[in-house]
Amino acid sequence: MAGIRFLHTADIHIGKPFGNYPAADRLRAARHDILPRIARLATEHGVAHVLIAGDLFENPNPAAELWRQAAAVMAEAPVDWWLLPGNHDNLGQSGGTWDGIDRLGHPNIHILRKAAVVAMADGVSLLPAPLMSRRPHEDPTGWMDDAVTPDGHIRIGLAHGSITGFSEGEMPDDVIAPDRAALARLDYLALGDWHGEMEIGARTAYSGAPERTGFQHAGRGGVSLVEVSDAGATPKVTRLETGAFSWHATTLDLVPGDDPEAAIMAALPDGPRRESLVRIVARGRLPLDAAAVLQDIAAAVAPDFCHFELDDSAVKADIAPADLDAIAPSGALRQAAQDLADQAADEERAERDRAVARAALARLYGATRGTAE
Amino acid sequence: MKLRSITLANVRRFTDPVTIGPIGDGVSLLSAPNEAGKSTVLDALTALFFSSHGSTARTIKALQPHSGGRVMVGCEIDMDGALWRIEKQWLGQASAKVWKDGALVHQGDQAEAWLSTLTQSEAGGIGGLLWVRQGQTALASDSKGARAQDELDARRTLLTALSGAVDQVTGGARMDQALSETATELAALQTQTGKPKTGGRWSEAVNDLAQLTEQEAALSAQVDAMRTDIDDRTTAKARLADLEDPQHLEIQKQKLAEAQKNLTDAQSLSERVRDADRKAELARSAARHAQENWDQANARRTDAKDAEEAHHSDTQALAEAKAAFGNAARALDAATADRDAAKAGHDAAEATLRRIDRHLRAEDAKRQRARLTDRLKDAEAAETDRLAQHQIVAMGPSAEVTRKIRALARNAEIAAQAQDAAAPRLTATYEPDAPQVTLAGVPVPEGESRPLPADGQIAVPGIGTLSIQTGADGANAATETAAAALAAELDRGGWADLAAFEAMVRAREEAEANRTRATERRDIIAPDGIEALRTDLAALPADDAQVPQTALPDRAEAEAASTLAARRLEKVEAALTLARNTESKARSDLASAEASARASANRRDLARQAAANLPAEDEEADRALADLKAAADQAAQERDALRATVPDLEGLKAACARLDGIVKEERKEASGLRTRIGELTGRIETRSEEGVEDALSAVRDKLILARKTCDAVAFERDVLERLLGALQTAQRAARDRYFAPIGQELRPLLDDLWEDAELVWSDTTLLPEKLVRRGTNEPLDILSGGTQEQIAILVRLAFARLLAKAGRHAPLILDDALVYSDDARIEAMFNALHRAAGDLQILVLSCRQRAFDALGAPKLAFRPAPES
Repeated sequence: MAGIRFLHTADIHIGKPFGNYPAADRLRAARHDILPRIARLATEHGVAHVLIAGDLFENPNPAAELWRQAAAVMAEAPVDWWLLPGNHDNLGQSGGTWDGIDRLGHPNIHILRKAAVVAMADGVSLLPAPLMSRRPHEDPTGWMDDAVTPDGHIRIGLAHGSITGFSEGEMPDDVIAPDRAALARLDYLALGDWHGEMEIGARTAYSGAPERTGFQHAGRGGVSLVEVSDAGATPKVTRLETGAFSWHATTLDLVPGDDPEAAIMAALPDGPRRESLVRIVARGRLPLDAAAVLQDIAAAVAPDFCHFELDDSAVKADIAPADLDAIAPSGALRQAAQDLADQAADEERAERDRAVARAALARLYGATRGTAE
Repeated sequence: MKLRSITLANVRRFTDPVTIGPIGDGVSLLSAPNEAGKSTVLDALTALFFSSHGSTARTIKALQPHSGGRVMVGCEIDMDGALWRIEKQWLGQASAKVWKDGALVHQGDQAEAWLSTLTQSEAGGIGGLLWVRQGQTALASDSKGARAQDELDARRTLLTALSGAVDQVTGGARMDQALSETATELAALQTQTGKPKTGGRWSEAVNDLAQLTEQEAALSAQVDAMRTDIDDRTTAKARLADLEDPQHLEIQKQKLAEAQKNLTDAQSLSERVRDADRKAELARSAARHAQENWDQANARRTDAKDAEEAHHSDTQALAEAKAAFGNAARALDAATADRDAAKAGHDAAEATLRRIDRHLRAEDAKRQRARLTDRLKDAEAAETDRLAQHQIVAMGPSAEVTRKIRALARNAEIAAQAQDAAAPRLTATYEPDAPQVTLAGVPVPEGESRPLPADGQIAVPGIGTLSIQTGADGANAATETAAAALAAELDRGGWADLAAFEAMVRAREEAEANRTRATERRDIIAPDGIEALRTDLAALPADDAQVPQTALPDRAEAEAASTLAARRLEKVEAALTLARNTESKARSDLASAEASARASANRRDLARQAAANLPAEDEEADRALADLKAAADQAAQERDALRATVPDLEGLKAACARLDGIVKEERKEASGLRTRIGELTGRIETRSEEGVEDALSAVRDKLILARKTCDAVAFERDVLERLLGALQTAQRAARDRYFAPIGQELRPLLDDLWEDAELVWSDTTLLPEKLVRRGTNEPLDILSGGTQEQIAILVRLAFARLLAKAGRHAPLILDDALVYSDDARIEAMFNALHRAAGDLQILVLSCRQRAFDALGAPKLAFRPAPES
């Protein structure tokens, strides 16, 4: 028996709109580009099978052009594609996507509609667990324990769902038994749903999304190259990076005296900025001038990146008399600044109310900078 | 600085030098008619302080009289404990000189420099600040350019000295810039009412959010509809698969065939049952007919017997009815006779009673006639007497004549008495037994005094006659006139003398009394008049002679007999009624009995006829009937036995129909499901290919961004509003602080004129820009001319007081500054001037001489200037 080598991927989410990102068009385009990239990797690594563990599509009924183009890409590639309906593209809510792909009649595209053993290759049985709904409440892999495969066959499980707390939020927690691979005598259980790569055990792993979908998972996405030499052998899993975009989320804890410019610059990722998405959440306290610098620096570097956002709403203004003096040492302007500072410090006010006062004071500070008499 | 005198020479109308002064502290009044030169004084002072002696400007030339020549203005001021004299000449031998305590200290440009220092530090601002020109109601003076700036600077200097620099207090240009930028940015986001401004970022964010929310709702509905369609299609497909399952179809076919065979068998058996049923029915019918015939014959025979008995009974009843009717008829006759007899007796008693009553009424009428006749006679006699007395009354003297004659008689008596009293009197004293003398034929008794007539005779028995001639003609004439008048009146009535007249008067009075009595008697007898008596008499029955007066019983007796007859009549009437009723009932019973007898005779005849041809009643007939019944029972038993073997035909039919219906319905349902699945698939694919789920995901992502944007812009708006509010509040408070000193000076002055009034100050002009009365803001330029000029003066008074407090006294000059104010306000303003005066110097110029007498201030006047 020659064993088997295949690429394990999942959660491509073709059709995900990224409407809340200004660079949505580029992010959407990247999802279309990922299938050819995977196909090239398969060719490069000499594998004949790609297992997609659910959520190829963002929705059960994507636009026709999306699934047709995806099918066309897969059909052209010299590999067999084993497609498992996940929760986003579940069978129960699918009106015709999977049927449509079937009707195209591409022999290398296999849609796994039933929880039944499929002969994947010589000596290899695939045990798929397709999902019928968006939020399944039963372990779809339960049937695998009693699934009969020919003696000596490598048993590969393919499923989509959370296990030991790894969930992207929509699926109920811990649907799949964590020891399913052992219970069902699987040589490898290829999982999808968690968008970051994660090895659950020697025979169970999430491949993660080949192209990241958000800041929850840092860096670039990738696929898993899985090699099973024989039934019962421990699989060898190799990570192959595939993502075009690199995602980075950082939290800055700031205190008076910190250099906001240095802090931001240190938090910026290496690598090509045009393909990087950055989110910096600033917390703590800063004097008015430093808070203004923080915003200035963020505004200055933001255009370099595909996406850059600074959330400094949790930065409390550390208002010193010198800040107020900088606005005006006396007179009405000073009085206005003092009133706003008092409001910002008034613990009896609602947090938003205080935040408004802080922002107003910061604005006054910014407006009067450079106009000092 | 205080002005002590002003001197003008060759200035407009003052071709000869004039001076005003000395001018003291407090309020001074220069009151003179129009064109007396009051405004010239202010123009000249302005030139003195602000125009160089070398100037030939229009304002200087305007001071020149028509005759031309050089213009000279001078003044004395009290400043820093010294008396200064300033003098300038223009338009010829121009000069400027300043003396201090009589010593020339500056002249020419040096003098101008000294003046410039004075005006720039104080007087320049003071002039504009405190000098009010004729007709000027605005607070700012009519100065322009540098002068206006000087005046503003003067105000600023003064207020800054008291409160600090205005910019420093109110924030100055930086505050203005911050306010302007904040307001501009806020205005770009929202309208003045706080709504998102069209085209602004906030409005766009809100609109985007609304549009996306709307899109999200629409797409959600489409997605939901698509998913519902998918669910429906899944259900439909499952159902169609069940319906089209071959095993299901075969079972259904077998069931239907079996049911149809059972039905055919049952229908055959059912036909045999119907044959047996017909036979049983025929037998039952024959037996029933036989029984009916038998029953009918029996009934006819019984009926004939009953009819015979009924007729016999009716015949007996008829005889009894006839007898009863005869008895009743006889009883009725007897009762009728009794009633007639009783009625005759009653009629007779009633007739007797009526005769008695007629007789009694005739007697009564007779008595009444006699009484009425007597009353009529008496009344007629009284009337006759009354008429006779009336005639006597008519013949007597009237009351008027009586009063007249009695008056004349009284006059005559009084005249006679007067004559008598005036006449010589005669008293006789007789010798015993001497005869009495007579005077005018009347004996004169002893001792009785008698008047002597004017022309009379005294007969002295025994002696002869003594003729008297008294000569009292006047009294006699009156007596005679009165007597003549009386006699003439008596003669007119035909009375011989007064006694005859009085007799006639008495006769008349007596006749009047008699007439009254006769009238009273007549009215008592005939209160309604004599005619009423005659009418009553005529109304009495004319003749009662025919009423029988004999052979009539007593009325009580007759009345008792009548009552007795009436009771008897009533009793027999009741008996008669009873007899009539009895007779009527007996007659009716007789008719009924006759009718019954006739009817029963008919019925009997018919029953005899019907029974005449009936078959005989025998055992053979009974046996034949029993055989027929037994045959019918046998046929029914045979039919029932066969029927028991027939299955439920209707049930079998229903089962067949149900199975057939199921097959048809399932075929129909399957057809419908195929159509339905096709429709659903079409819709699903259409929506799927449109990518509604992708679109929904995209819109939801955009919604997240739009909400964030909306929240961020709303937050920014709140920040701008907060900042703007803080800036405005601080600036308002600062401005209030800045203007507090002048406000404090103004407070009591404003109170003199208005309740609850204050001024809002502009920190640009440092002058009031609004008047707030009872909370209402009024821009100054919309106020009346009177109010504007009052405010202008009060503000200057307040500034003057502030200057004085700062040790910088300056004269306040008001040139006809109260031209629009009404009388009440002028007095209030006068009070304000005096209140503010203190050690200020206020020079009031006015052409309203009478009105300004009420100012109560020392009066100034133009007077020739002393030779210098």
